[in-house]
Amino acid sequence: MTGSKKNTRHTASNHTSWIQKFESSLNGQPLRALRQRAIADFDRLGYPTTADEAWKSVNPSALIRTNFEPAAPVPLADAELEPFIYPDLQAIRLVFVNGHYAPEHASDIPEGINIANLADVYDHPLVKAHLGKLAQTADLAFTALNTAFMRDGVFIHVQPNITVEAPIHILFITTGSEIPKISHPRNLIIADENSQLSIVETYAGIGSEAYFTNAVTEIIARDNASVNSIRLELQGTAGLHVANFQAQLGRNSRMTFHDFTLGGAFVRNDVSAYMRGEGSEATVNGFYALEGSQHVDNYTLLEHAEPHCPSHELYKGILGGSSRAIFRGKIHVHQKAQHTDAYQQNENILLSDNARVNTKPQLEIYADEVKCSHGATIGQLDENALFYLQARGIPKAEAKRILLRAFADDIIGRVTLAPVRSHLSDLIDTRLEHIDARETA
Amino acid sequence: MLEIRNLHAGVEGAEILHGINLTVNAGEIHAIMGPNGSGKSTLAQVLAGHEAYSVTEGEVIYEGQDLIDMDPDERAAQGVFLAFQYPVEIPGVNSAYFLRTALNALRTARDEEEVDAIDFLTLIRDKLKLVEMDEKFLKRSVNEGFSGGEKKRHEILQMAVLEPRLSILDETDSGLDIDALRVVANGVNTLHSADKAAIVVTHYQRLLNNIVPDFVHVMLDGRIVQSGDKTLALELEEKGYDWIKEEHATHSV
Ligand SMILES: Nc1ncnc2c1ncn2[C@@H]1O[C@H](COP(=O)(O)OP(=O)(O)OP(=O)(O)O)[C@@H](O)[C@H]1O
Ligand SMILES: [Mg+2]
Repeated sequence: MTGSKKNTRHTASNHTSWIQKFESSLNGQPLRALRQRAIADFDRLGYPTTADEAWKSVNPSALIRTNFEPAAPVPLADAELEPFIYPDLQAIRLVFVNGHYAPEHASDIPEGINIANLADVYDHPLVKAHLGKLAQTADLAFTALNTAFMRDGVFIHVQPNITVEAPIHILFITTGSEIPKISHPRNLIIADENSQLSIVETYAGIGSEAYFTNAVTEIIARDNASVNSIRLELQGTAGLHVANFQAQLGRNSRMTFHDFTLGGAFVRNDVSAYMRGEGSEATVNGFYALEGSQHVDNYTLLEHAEPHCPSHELYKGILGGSSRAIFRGKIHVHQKAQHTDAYQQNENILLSDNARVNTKPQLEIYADEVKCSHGATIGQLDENALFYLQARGIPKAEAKRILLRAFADDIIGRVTLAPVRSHLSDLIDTRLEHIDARETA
Repeated sequence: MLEIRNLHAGVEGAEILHGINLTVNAGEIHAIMGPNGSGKSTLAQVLAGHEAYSVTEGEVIYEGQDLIDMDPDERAAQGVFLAFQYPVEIPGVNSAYFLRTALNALRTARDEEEVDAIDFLTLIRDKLKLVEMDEKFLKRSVNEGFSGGEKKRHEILQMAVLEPRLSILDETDSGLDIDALRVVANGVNTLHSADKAAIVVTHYQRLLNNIVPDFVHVMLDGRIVQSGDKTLALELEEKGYDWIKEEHATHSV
């Protein structure tokens, strides 16, 4: 990482007082060493600036206001939760409101799986052993901040040879308030040898006020494990969302990740799959549909550390208004990772002359026998396809919708959990109609 | 049914059609022939309402209405159909959905009731038989990966489903094998009736053996320079376009 410029508005003493104040609000001083190290890293790093290679396009310190305050728990009525529930999904559900666990909204947890809210299990040996091992704080300011100030999230441990039938739905909701709130959701998921599970993450906001969610999810898939993960980001119109999703894959394990970014004023997604075991396979797909002045960055890293690992990556975006998107897809093939097969594609449709996409593949290949392909497209809706549909009697607005839907379906259709797929499909339909209506208004 | 008067049209900065005149009555089949680049497809696209082409002069009256002011979908609702020379691939939109949406859009525009999925299936099976297409095509994305001949059959399938009054077939015969040519021609003939009309753009007489035209027109450099009955096509087949080009060159001096 280049240029760890320190943001002068934040001084070390400032951070130390934050963390002291924060720790006094926790029970005991859980994970003290980890937090101390993280705050020291953050002191050194400061908020990234545009001088950082990974933050070139946007100045986060201009976005992240200093008066964000740790969010207090707020009781949430079932009706307020309703829009974020997948109607037909029989899920094990955990809900967090403003970063605080809301057990009253949790479903019953079946026997045989170890699922808990993280704050209850800080002393668990697996938590102690793994939390923060994958998501390192030395280079990543926001991950450092999360690690220092994490309050809660989900811990899941699936025992070897266990298949968790019910998907686990983790919901992080921020409620609106006049004082901008900050929360640092933190998840640790360990899928032991030959186990299987599905995780559905939702990050959502209620209200139009500004707030900041800074999430970190670490997933460890051990040998032959299979992890199916879907994430939906539906932050409020003034919500800031930074999320770091890091997965590590053991021998012959599989991880699929589908990311849907629909809301938020500023969203930064870091997604990485570290293929540490031979024959592991990572699928990382994403979809974003933006309008107004939304800014969404997707930074992905597919790290091939061992031989015979296929990776598949497809990100697609639809942009209206004066929205901005960045896609940076890094594929890192280590020297010993022979017979790597990596595929990366990023496709974008601009609905407006003022929308912008910046797409950049970044390949670092140190092995010889590697199949690696990548491509990117940025363009308008296909005029000829539009005309073809219209010439068959389909009015322009509907023809547009059909084409946009087909574009999005390419990602939605890959989601294997049917109830999640159909609900996402409806959500995205509504969203696209809304975006297009704003374009044609 | 269709009256084209002194039609000038083109793309930005370049006129392609330099004054087309053509009258098509119900029950008639007109063939338009002419060398590559003479403007046949441009005429077809202008009639269907492609935005890339603008009309700079003249008028097109269809069933007493000014066609030029209508959106492409309105034209379709009024019964105008273009079988594309190059059918467009639409990834992610399956043919069955596309056909049903199109049919229902037309029905809605005509204040008719939409067809439901079950009735549509009955209807489409019938139409598939007409063009001898397998039902599996319905599940595929529109034209995506279709062979040249399959694309053309798919155009006629659409025509069969939408039942237009004025069909413009732009080189629907190119790329077809002998059997497919017979199937397409048979489809067009079956769909034709006294209250319908067709404009068939083609390079080859062999199509016109199967779809017998009432009139044959020759297009050259954006103008219709010669019109006649079906024997004109035979003459062109035999002699090529040079004699018309020469004749036209002397005339226009
Ligand atoms: N969108 C366009 N932009 C620029 N030039 C065009 C466009 N469409 C057509 N032309 C030009 O207009 C002329 C007529 O083209 P058109 O496709 O109508 O010919 P055609 O008679 O259908 O030929 P063919 O028999 O090869 O299909 C050609 O010179 C072509 O290059
Ligand atoms: Mg042509």
